[in-house]
Amino acid sequence: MDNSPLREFDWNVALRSWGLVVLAAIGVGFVLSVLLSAAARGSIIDGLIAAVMRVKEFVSDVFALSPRRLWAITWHSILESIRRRMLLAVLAVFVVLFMFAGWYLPGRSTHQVTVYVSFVMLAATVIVVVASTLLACLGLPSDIHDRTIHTVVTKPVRRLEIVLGRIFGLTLVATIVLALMGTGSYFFLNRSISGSLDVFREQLAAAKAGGDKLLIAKLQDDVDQIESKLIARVPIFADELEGPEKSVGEEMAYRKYIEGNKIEAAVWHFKGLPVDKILAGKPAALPLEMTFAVFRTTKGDIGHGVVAQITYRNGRNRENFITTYPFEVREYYVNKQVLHDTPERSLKSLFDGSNGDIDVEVRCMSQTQYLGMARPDVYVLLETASFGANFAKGMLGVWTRVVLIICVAVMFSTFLNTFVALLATAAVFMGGISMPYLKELAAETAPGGGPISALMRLVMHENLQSEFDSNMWTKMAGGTDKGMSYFLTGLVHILPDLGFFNTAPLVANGFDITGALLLQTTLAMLAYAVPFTILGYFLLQSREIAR
Amino acid sequence: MKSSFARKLMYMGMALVLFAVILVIRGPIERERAAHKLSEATLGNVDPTSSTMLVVLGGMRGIASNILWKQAIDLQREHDWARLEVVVDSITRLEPHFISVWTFQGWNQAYNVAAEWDQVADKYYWIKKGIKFLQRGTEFNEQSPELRWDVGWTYFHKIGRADESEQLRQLFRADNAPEVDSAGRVQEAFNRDSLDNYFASHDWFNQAVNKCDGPPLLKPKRMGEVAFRSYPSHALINYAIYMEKEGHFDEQIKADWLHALQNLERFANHDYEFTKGRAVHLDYPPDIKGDLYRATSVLTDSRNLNELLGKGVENLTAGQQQQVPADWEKLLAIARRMINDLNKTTIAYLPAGASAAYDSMEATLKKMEGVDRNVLTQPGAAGDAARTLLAEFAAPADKFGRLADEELYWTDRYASMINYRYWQERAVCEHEWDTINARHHFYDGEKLHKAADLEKAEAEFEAGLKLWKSVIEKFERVRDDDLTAEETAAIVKTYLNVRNQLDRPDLKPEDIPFKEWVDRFTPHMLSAEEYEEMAKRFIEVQNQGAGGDAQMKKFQQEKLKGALKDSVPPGKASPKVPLRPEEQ
Repeated sequence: MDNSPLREFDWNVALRSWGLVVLAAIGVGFVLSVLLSAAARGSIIDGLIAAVMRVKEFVSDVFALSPRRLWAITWHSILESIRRRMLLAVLAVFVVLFMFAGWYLPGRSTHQVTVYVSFVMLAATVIVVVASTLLACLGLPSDIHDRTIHTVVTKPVRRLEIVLGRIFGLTLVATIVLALMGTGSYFFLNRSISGSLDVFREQLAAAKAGGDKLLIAKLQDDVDQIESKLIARVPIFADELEGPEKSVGEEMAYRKYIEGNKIEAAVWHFKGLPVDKILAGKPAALPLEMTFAVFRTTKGDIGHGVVAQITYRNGRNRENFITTYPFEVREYYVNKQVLHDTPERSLKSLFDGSNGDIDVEVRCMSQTQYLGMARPDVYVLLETASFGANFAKGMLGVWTRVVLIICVAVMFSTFLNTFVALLATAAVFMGGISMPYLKELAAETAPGGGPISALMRLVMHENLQSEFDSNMWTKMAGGTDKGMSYFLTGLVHILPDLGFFNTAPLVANGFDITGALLLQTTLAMLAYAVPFTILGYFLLQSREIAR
Repeated sequence: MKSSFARKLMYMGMALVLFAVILVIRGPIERERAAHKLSEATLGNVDPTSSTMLVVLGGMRGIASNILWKQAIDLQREHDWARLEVVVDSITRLEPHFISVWTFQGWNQAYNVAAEWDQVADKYYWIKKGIKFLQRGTEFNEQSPELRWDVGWTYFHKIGRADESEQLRQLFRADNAPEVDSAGRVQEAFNRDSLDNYFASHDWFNQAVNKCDGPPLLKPKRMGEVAFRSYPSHALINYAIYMEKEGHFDEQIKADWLHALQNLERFANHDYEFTKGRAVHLDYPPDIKGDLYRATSVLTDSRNLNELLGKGVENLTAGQQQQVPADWEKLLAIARRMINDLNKTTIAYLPAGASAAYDSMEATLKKMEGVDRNVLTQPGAAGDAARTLLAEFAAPADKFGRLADEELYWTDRYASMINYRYWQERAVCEHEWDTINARHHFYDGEKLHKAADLEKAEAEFEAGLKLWKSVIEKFERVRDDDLTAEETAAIVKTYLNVRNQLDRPDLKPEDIPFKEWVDRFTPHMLSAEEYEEMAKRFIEVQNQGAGGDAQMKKFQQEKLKGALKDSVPPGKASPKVPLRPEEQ
């Protein structure tokens, strides 16, 4: 789920998949190159030789890269961006958007930070991607059209330097713009939220003076919820969640449920918690944060929440445990519990011999009610990072997306004209944004079938669940969709999943973007950027420019 | 070059011609727009953001709305409430005059999204959000009574009738402090005057009704006019009911019921059109109603007598010949009463033609007074004259009677739609001190029962039930209503439970108050014999002769199709379900 703070990533699978795709792409590209060259020269041998020569040329270009020439092209790209007034236009649009952003802000305090951050990062992504794409698609094609590229390649500037120079130039421009936007939007965000926080605090003080308990509770809640989002949690997640298996019929199967007033429990197995750090606190404390879903099969005790109870158990000695007082669960809120020393048992003795392995067991105490949970829903929170630094890391996620799209746009611009390159880049962008849906189509798990079946349902006014009668037309539609799914399977391996680079939900929900995640996104970006750049090089090389 | 220049001239000429056409047709279009109040300013408030987006997006507005709507559905499914709020607001900025958007999303937030939250305070937040959303919709759609009705309905139903209504009503009443929005601005309190939710709903229902009264005159689109206009009264009735449920039994509650009754009667006095140019009220004063009923009796009697004599006196049987003079006298008596006692206002309620028919009847009746009733069955000139006079009377009587009958029919039909007579009688009944005091006793009895003060509880129930009996005897419609029976049965059961806890001797069946109702609302467990009898009859029906064979054939055919893999053939007993190990 997009908003989950836990991002699972398997390096082995990722590397294997990338390796296979790249090898396949290289193989297909080489064979195509041989065939095309053979067609031009008249024999397969000549074609093979030509293809090998091109690869040799690429290798020599790599070793012959000149930082001076590279910087010249880079600087030229930067100057071109300035000359085209793109920077000004981008910043102007950004400022205008922010002026009117206030009209769209949600009414609830708990949502402010989430929506602000999401809005800022989305706006920055869209504006900078559009601007960079325009610049990239305008650059090389207009140079080629105007023949100015001839003076460049005869300098002699290598084609690899041209492609890389364009990419680096646009990347630098995008970086500066994003830095400005990020700084501006951070201050805007801080000012807006601090402003409303101050007003809430004033109102809270007035309510306390007036003694209105309901209002005090509401305002305190508002203040707490805003403050809880203006941090960057560094959660320690459990290694495993055991127990909840029931479904309550929700469409989103993200959470499973346990029944109330039964022996079943959800058990989070934490391995290797930093015991010293936990016990070093004054007082020693194990802070836990939890988010649960609630499903009621009866109204139950109206006005009171569903009750849960936690037992902390030594992971290696099950007889060693502490059970805490039951508490009412607040759905969709972050429920906090801090375990201190208890009269029966101290924290030190709880951790004794555990090696940092602790099981957190949650039970639902309310009869006929269910509690829903997923593995990331419970975590130990020992430290928090700076919201500002986390916001900057979020902007880094935006940056990786922008750089990726720049590489794609420059690649397309090496062999397409401006308009077509723009369309192609837009298609890649839209495909990347819609990757979850494309994967569903590729796996044939989309409700209602593939595109042709869906079109038939629209025309025939059928819903998504009804089965088609078996006839020639439905069989043809099914067959076409099958063919499309094969095509899409290939496509989803080539197109970048832009959602992967989206770290905005983490910032919006107050979770720290870890170094590991940053490394993943950066390496993933490079995993796409480098092949696209090399492809761009070969495509530019294949054009008859000043040979 | 020449052809290019010529082409450009041609294009310019076409553009000028089209421009001239626009100038010509613009005027009538503007006039039509103004007449039907379709311009932005007449539809409602103008939101600059919305207008900007409409202009910028142009024809893509619909596509953008669809995309946003799909997004809203996805966000709701993912429980992403923060973004859902923003997306829903964006949809309304794109489609500010599309009523269904406001109606659906207002309802969606107040009902569906609120239901997803567990804590009552959170539910209340979303109900409030839904109401505010609808209220905003009314600002952009001045000509929509439906949106105002939706606001009223959400106050009425979602806050007032939810399972959590007690808490929600409290939260609503307490929501009288100014609020801070997300930009830090202080906004007006949601319920500045600490109104009851039913009062708030009454206000909005009234606004909806007043919107229909124009100008311009509007008809509600989503429901019948009678039902639509009944809601302000229902709001006041529910207000009074819930005030009593919360323990108010003073002069104020009496005034509240009177207010509800007056409102109900005002609602009944509206003209409800049943056909073009004809309208009825839901109720009439007793004298006018009497006139209308008498008119229908005159119609029936005169028509029957006229038809009988129309067959020819020679065809009358001896019995009929004897009956005719009596019928004549009866007709004269009722016609006389109708004419003499008629309230002139009655004629004003009836359409054109009624007055002429009435005058004709009056004139003919005078002549009929002088006729000897015995000549009616006799052949000859005198008899013919008498029969002709009767026919002369019967024609206008038929017309007048049919008009009166039509009036009564539609009155009855519309009144029955919303059970008006019941609510009217109920309001009168509840307004009486006996009723208020009876309910007061029941309320105190419940409280004392929960507090385990059983002796006092018993006394309260007994006093209340005694008063209640006298109330029920006076008000027939209230007595005959199922709601009353169910409510009374529940009270009696609590009373019997209290007696049981006090170890009082069981009451004899004839001493149990409202026993019939108690029995009606007590689930009846079948005895062993009754169960066996029922099972036997069930199997007999299954195995019935030819029907059984046809059933068996059908079953076999379906089994072949694989549709009923594990089913049991008709007439056979169900296969015994094997016991689980722990049950063995």
